[in-house]
Amino acid sequence: MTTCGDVIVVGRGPAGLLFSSLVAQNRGSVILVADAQGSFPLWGGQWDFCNYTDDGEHVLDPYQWWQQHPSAWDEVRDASTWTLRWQHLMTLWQEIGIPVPDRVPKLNRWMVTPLGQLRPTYWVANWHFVMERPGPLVFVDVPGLVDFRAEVVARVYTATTGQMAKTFRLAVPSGWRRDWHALNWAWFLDSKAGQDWLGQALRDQVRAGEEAVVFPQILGVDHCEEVLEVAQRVLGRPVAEVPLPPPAVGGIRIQRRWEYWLRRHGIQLVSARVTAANRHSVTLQDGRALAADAVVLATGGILGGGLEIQPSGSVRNTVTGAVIGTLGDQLLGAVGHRNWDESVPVIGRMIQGWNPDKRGNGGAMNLWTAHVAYQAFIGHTALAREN
Amino acid sequence: MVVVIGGGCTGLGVAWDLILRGVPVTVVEARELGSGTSGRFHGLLHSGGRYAVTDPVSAKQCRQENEVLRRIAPSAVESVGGYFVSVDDGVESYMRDWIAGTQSAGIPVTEVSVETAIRRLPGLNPRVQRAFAVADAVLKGFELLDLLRVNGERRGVTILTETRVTQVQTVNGQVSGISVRTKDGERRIPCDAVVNAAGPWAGQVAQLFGERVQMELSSGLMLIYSNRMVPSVVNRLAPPGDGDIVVPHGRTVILGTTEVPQVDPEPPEPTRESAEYLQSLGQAMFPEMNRWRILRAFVGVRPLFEGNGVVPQSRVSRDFTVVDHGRQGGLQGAFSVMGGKWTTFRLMGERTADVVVEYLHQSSPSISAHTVLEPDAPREKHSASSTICECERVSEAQLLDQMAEPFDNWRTRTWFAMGPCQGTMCAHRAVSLRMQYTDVEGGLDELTNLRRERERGVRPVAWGTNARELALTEALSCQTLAEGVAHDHLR
Amino acid sequence: MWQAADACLKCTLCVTQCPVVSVNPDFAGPKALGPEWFRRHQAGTLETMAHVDDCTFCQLCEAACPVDVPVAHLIAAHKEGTIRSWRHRLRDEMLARPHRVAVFARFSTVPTLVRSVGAISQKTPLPRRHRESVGGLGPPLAKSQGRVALFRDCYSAGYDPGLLDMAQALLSLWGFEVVQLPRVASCCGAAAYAAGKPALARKTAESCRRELALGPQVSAWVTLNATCDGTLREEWPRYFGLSLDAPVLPFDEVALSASDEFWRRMHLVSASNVPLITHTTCRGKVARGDGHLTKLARRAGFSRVEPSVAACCGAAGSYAFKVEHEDTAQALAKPLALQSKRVKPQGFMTDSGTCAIHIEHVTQVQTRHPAYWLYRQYQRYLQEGSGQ
Ligand SMILES: Cc1cc2nc3c(=O)[nH]c(=O)nc-3n(C[C@H](O)[C@H](O)[C@H](O)COP(=O)(O)OP(=O)(O)OC[C@H]3O[C@@H](n4cnc5c(N)ncnc54)[C@H](O)[C@@H]3O)c2cc1C
Ligand SMILES: Cc1cc2nc3c(=O)[nH]c(=O)nc-3n(C[C@H](O)[C@H](O)[C@H](O)COP(=O)(O)OP(=O)(O)OC[C@H]3O[C@@H](n4cnc5c(N)ncnc54)[C@H](O)[C@@H]3O)c2cc1C
Ligand code: SF4
Ligand code: SF4
Repeated sequence: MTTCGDVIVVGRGPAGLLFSSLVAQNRGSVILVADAQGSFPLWGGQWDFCNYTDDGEHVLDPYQWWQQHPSAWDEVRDASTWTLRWQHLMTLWQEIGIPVPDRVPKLNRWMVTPLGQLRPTYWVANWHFVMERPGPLVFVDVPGLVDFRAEVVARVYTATTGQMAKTFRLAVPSGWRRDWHALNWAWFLDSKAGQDWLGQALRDQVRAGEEAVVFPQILGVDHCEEVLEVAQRVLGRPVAEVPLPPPAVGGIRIQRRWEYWLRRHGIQLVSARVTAANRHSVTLQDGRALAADAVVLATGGILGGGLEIQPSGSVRNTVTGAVIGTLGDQLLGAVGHRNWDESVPVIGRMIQGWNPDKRGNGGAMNLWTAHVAYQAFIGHTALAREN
Repeated sequence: MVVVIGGGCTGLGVAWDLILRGVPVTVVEARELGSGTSGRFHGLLHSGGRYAVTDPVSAKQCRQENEVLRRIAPSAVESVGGYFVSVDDGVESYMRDWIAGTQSAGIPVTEVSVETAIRRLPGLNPRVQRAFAVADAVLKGFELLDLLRVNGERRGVTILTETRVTQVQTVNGQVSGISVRTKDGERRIPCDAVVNAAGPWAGQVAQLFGERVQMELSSGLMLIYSNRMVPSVVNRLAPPGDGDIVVPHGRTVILGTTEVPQVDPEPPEPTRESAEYLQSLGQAMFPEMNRWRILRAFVGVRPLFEGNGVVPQSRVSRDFTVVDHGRQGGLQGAFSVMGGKWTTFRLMGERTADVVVEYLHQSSPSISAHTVLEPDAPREKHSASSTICECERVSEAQLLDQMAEPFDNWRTRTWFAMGPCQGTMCAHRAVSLRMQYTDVEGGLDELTNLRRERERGVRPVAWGTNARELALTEALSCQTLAEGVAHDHLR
Repeated sequence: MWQAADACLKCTLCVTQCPVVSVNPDFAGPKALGPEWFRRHQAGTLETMAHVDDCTFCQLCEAACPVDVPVAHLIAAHKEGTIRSWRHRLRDEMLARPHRVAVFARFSTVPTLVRSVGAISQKTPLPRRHRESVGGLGPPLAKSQGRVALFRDCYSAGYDPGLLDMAQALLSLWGFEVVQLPRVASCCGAAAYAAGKPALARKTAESCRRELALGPQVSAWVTLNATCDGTLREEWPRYFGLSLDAPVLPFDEVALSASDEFWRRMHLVSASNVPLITHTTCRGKVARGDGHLTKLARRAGFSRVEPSVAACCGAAGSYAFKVEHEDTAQALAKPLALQSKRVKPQGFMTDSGTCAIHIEHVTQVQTRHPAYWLYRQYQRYLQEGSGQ
């Protein structure tokens, strides 16, 4: 196993965490600097591969799509490279303790949105509801949860798929308040008391049938496997969840587990804004400097804060100060560096050409760019050692 | 019966004045009440100070109507007070004229010390030389329109929305009725007189009378900032120009405005260049304004009129004009009211009604200056209900109350999706609540429209933090919610 | 004037990282209590919201916020408007001045009656004074590194003076000349700020700053307590306009830069495979980040080190001492208790004295500052025969 030198990663979103993990797995030491939480708690944590064509048509076989669509990286056409990288993610998540199947899927599958529509997705944790083709379902209505109205979800689902959809309404525990959001529910269900209550509450809902029961994503945080297990046992059917807008419990679960895993692996998390960087060091807002063999920016594009739009419309890298273009009428998610290897390597949403919003390829973007940067990084360090 | 074309403040003001005089009225509005300029203005109930030098008549009218509106519509006026602050060099002579002008228009002005001004108006340019307090106030446009609607309807005004006037019928050179188009088709409404109060569209409506009226339209840009950074209205004490007024409005402040000539009555899309320009002007008064969180930009069109084509019947001021087309040798029973301001809408209504009742051979005097607009009885409060819009704290119950309204009214009545996140977090919630009562496709379309409408105002000012907000909206609506995705092939 | 108080994106990241939200279902969370409340407040609303006092002022929300909204500080301003009973007011006035309380360091013997009248928690143990005799560690390992000031925080000064001496001994070993400042009991203002008294916090901080100015010129300020660390470095300039003439550094960061010889010696100690859990306090995470303690412990030769699973132990300065917060505080510490049961550590390493008492109470495991663990380890090295 190669042992890498020190690296500074800026940004703790999915791209930053993945890159850090690659280094940490190979016993390199990582300093992860970020001025804020990354995007995980904003979404369910499903890693999309490629959902839509240029014309907005659904993609069923993302491998095939990538083979037919060259990009900045030639290798990207190679299905076996993709498979290897997804397999790496699979074993990494298993090691971290994020439950995933032990085989990477061949095709996209369907997930249900909080409005009851369907969309493709590729890589999800086991708690996440996906299906190969639409079938009858039961949606659970959770009182006070304004992001998921089971009645409406069921109607939209039926209208778009032609499949039956039933609903039932969850009771409320004592101490419940109408303004509980998904995370309040999840923290409650995480507790022993919460799990006991859920078991009781679901007992009244046991009916004949085999349809999967779909909950909005509220079934616990750190102990979600136990909560799901309670629900499944009592209901006697498969139970899974639909991810909701923030606070997005699925992403929170992943973020917590992943960051803990990294801390156990000895990475150092520095909370600070980076205001300047070159290939070997960064300057923090308070004037401190950190140095390492390499620096990687996983600073998340416009939403993440790595890119800033000026009133004039020009787009600036907040770390290097480089102006990388002007905002036209494209989606903001499409704005980014054209190539990963600018003056300082950038990964994740900092890179142009993927556009998760329009294409549905956010997961692939993080996966691919983190690996490309990692390959280059070990290349560099190997070179440095030789010299 | 009199038909009033246009459901903005002017049209409703005319209708209100007429009904108070016992004249039956129908207001015909092509879209929704306030969907023209009256819903896209700066929100200032003028003290008159702004016009003290350039338009003394207007200044005096503002001063008077300011007092009247505080009396008759207290719930729609927020008495925040205003300041005129001089932050420029070389405006001494204007300042002298201004003080004299306010005196002769009877506008109460109190000079305050520079220190006081800086204390009361956080962030004010420390270079301020002099500051004067005036009786500017905030005019809550949507609330006042609603008051006019409720009180008008209570007294018998018929209001037809989503009803466009397409023709005017005549008999012997006299108005006999109008044709309207609604989503259910065309129909005729007989009437004795027609008042054109179509704001920027007045030129188009006048064509239905067979008249050519040359409007001098100009658009004005306004920028909304997320928080109420200043508690009072602040005017730059200089000859009226662009970007010289800041008005607190609800939990926001609005900076305005610009003046760009244009032909089309529809407001143009705001642009990034004009927004940047406007903000730079605002910084003369509040140097840190570029660090305030901006929310959106919007544009209104001024229905100005310079009197070409027809000779005005009564040129009340340079500000607004009432035309009796019959007297001009045109169609009998056709009237137009053009120009004006929100602040003087009641006066415009009164002056227009004066001419109309004369035509109808009636003699009842106007009582609108003394008739209080009573708010609707407060609705029964629903018991506990969830919050749908967190920014503006709009509850499910409030939304249910207004569910019968068309979508845009539903929003402006309840104010959901109008706060710092511009609907990022609540648009889908509101729509899914509504979908319990509507069909599925309709609901999803409304969501798409709402996102588009919000984006139009956000995108031109998508910079700094606000750009991040828009990026969040995109991620949420495209990825989490996969809005606008078609899946017919799934069936 | 606040900066970025109006910047909120409503993204809810703050809520997802707030420890109180995870245990107290009545707590509305940072977004509602901070920027949303502030926006209404700025528009003239005076009302305050229920449970705002439940916020621990850990500032994790603020650290999570992508657009720098001073979330926790807005909540502190929000707290200022709440109406409290006279008993709570009296107690809060006292707890907001920990340096005065610490002068009479007999706090731990406060009788039950006084505690209940004073609305002081019966469940949370009060600080007691550590008594340790501390000796020197021998001649410096490095050539002179210049003079640093060791910030004598009110807690250590009152309850754990030995810790200050251990830290001083280590710093001297690493080649620093050390002065302990301030000389008289004084507080950085954190306690008052946390209690929702920003004005008192400012006054306290200003008087502390004056005390510090009486000392000699130094090249750095070294802090032992993470809360003081964040307060001195970040809050003083940002909220009080106070600055120090040298950088403020947490002890553990200074330690990480100690010479290789020091670490070599630490590795020679035999008993180094004691299982240790490192808990970076919430304020430490905010001020500096996480993982430093783990790195430090491993470098010091503790081979079985595990980071704590809790974001905040619940002590949060004087928070846990208040009777109305005792349940939240206990709940916050619960994950630590469970982890401790599972790992069976011989000790916890944490960067705050008040947190240490709390963790010790819930886990029944000795919990001390990194300076203590390093000092003890080095002493072992000396005892075991430094000849190796
Ligand atoms: C609402 C939402 C829904 C999503 N849904 C999906 C989905 O359905 N499928 C999917 O595959 N993906 C989804 N994503 C993920 C998205 O597609 C991207 O993959 C992801 O957000 C990109 O992550 P990142 O690591 O590049 O950046 P981010 O997660 O944004 O992280 C950026 C990090 O950089 C830090 N940073 C930025 N600038 C600086 C600086 N100057 N100094 C220090 N630190 C800095 C930030 O603090 C942050 O920690 C979603 C994202 C969002 C927000
Ligand atoms: C940028 C800007 C800022 C301003 N700020 C202020 C201020 O701060 N204070 C102030 O006092 N004044 C202000 N004003 C002026 C004031 O807003 C306008 O004068 C006033 O709102 C005009 O109202 P209106 O009813 O005449 O026109 P509108 O509100 O435009 O109403 C006309 C209505 O007619 C309808 N219509 C058009 N054609 C037809 C048809 N064929 N059939 C049926 N209906 C039809 C339209 O749909 C529209 O609703 C501002 C104006 C602008 C542009
Ligand atoms: S300071 Fe801590 S307890 Fe208070 S709201 Fe923020 S995260 Fe929650
Ligand atoms: S305060 Fe910051 S973290 Fe919290 S919702 Fe607002 S922008 Fe997001």
